[in-house]
Amino acid sequence: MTEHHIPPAPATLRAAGAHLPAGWVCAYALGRLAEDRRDDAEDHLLRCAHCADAVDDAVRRGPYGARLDDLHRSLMDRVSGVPHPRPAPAPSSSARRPVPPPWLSATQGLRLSWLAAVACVCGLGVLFGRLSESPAPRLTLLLLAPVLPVLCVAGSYGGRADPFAEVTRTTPAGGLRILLLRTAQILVVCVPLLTGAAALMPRDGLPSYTSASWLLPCLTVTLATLLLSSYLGSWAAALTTGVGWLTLMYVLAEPLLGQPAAAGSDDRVVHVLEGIQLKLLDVVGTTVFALVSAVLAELLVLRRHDFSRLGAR
Amino acid sequence: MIRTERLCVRRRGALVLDSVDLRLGPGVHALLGPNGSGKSTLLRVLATAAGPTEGAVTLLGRDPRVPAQRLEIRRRLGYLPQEFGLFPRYTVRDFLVYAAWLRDMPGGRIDRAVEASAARVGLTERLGHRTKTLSGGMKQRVGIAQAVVNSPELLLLDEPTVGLDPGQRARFHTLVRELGRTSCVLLSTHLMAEDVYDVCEDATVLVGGRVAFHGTLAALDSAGGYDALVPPE
Repeated sequence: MTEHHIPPAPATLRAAGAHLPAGWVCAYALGRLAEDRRDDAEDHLLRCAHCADAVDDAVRRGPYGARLDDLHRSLMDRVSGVPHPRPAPAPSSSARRPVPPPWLSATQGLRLSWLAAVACVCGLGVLFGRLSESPAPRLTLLLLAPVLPVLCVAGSYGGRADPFAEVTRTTPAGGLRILLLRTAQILVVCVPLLTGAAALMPRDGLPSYTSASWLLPCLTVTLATLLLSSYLGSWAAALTTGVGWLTLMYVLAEPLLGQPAAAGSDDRVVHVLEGIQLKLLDVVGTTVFALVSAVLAELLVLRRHDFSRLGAR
Repeated sequence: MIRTERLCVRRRGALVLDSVDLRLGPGVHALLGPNGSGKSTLLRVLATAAGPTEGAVTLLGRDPRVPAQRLEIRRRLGYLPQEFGLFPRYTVRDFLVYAAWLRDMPGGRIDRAVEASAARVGLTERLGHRTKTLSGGMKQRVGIAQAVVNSPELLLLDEPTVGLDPGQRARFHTLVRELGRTSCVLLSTHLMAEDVYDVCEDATVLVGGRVAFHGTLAALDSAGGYDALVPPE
């Protein structure tokens, strides 16, 4: 590219968010940027990782890329004291395996024991449901479903379950970002498991809500746990939310315990469980869950820096 | 790069660090002291894993109490705690990619950085091995590799050579000396060992949470050496 084809730099190059024009990047990488522009470009490159990466890529794609790689390898040999093997020729694009995104490496620590525990709860629920031919196990599983994922997050990653936590908390991604990623991973695994298990369990003709109706309470409980973990740490937050959810169940069940079973159902347990479900998932209950979720999400955004504060757990 | 003023840390009512004043620039610095002298606590505060009870800390010219500045510090920080674990099902490569991702490295640079950091500690051949198959010394090398994967401007190492054989120790010294040319490396150890004489330019000796000495190694020797400052355990 010749100099007269290079577009002028934006007047706001020093402004936050501005980047070098592509022409400048190419010209700088090839050593052809005019001297009077070079100072501005270098000044910007020192402050802007995005443009530094762009120059890096342009250099590597350019005629000196292979030579730079050789230099890098020989430098690494000298630093490490071990001959660095020359890389094999790049495979053809059809043979190249897709490279997983780096954030995916953050999700591999999930403890199989916790995944197995959730699978066991679901499996036993299906087994009891099938054997008893009663809707009680299904209702119980659905009522407990919102707290199972948060306990799984705490058990897999909370407190001392993360062996690398001491370093993780000193990194930029070690706060809310990794917590959200791990929570999403658990939900991706747990929600289909719980939904599938509920679908396999007998309903006994009751006018039950679908398993999907429970996603909103599940979201509310998860958000409450995330928010509480910014104060208490993930284990204490999960336990607090779990106890709080069970207390809510008890409060909703108490008025039903003294009532006779509803017509068409002789089973008092089913009557009580179904009564709780009706109260939680009717229009009023669903609206409350939606509003509370919105408030919790807003609070979570406001408290996002507290997940990475000094001494955060 | 590191500046503390009257830094105090209390744990369960006990004063662990007492009015610690430090000013460290680029280079390799030793942090010495007997067990329980507050070295690890000081490193945790400098690594932004813990906050001071009193006093001020400035790292890389930034205030770690301010969220945006704390983020910038953490991007430029490498930290090897005395005790750490690895996810057993990760390969060495997975783990180093994870460490690089945690430090906000651009995706396009991670592969090269992972290979460079593995080469620096002699783990290139082990990149595909699961961490649970590694020996204690190799795990320590993975720990060092994760700490330098982002070519940190501030590198904090707590007892980094524990479990390393002499060859690896020499390689580690080369690595730390190289990093010390442009970065601030603080190396904590409870022994006045070869690590200190081989790579460090100066030393800070902590005794009972207070700075008992700060100066060059020659000045430390002139003052009677480490043993003269540290009461026998």
